[in-house]
Amino acid sequence: MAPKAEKKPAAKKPAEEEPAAEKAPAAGKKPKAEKRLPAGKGEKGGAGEGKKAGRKKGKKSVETYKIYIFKVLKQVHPDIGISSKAMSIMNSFINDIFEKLAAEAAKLARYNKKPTITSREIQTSVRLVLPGELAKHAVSEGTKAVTKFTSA
Amino acid sequence: MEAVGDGVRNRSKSPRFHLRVSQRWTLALAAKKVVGRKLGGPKKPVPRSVKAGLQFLVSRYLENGRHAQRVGTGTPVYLAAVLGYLAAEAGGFNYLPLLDLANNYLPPLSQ
Repeated sequence: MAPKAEKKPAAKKPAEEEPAAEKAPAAGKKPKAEKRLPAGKGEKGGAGEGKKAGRKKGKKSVETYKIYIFKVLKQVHPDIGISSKAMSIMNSFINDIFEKLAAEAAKLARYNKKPTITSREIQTSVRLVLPGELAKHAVSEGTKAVTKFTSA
Repeated sequence: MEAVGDGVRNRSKSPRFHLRVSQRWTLALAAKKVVGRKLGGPKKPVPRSVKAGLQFLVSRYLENGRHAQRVGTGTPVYLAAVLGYLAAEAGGFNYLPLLDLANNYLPPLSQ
């Protein structure tokens, strides 16, 4: 069974949506980079909306997936909001899946004695990590995106 | 060598400078097509998310995490698409209308 959070957020007030939107550029409360902190830079969380060079107080910018999750939500249900706790759960979920896929792709690259992670490694990782129908749809989405990317 | 007045002869003996203004403009347009828009200035950078039609950021976190020495160009695009699909699916966002909306939502190809 797919790891689905069967929780559809109800329609929130616009006053509650703004704190969720404000938290995305502001400092997030759940930086989750357990494996990457010793290896790479001190970047926290997932992908952010941009690395801002001008820091006022030397404050480390925390990057999350929250604005992108919000974009996907507005794509599908334009009139539904999402609470801040649900947004944190979704952000943790995306970080978790990213770590799983990246670790699996790294293992695949090492087994074949290749130094490169290509989209083929990611495709095989998706087939290994995600179960059943979810993997099939994910592979279709990825192939479509790469095809559109190369043709543009 | 074509005979063109107005002192153009003194500037250079290259045959390009003896062309007429309309011919020079036509040559510039042809060169613009051949060289690939270098005469029209540098091309405006298009973000890869827009280029691939995605909502999730196409980023360099595979490289920063040191999962491998090298990362292919299509890899973050593929991974961003998978993460975007999983965000839509696992959040209970009802994926099947996403296919219809995604077709309408995609920006037109600028080629």
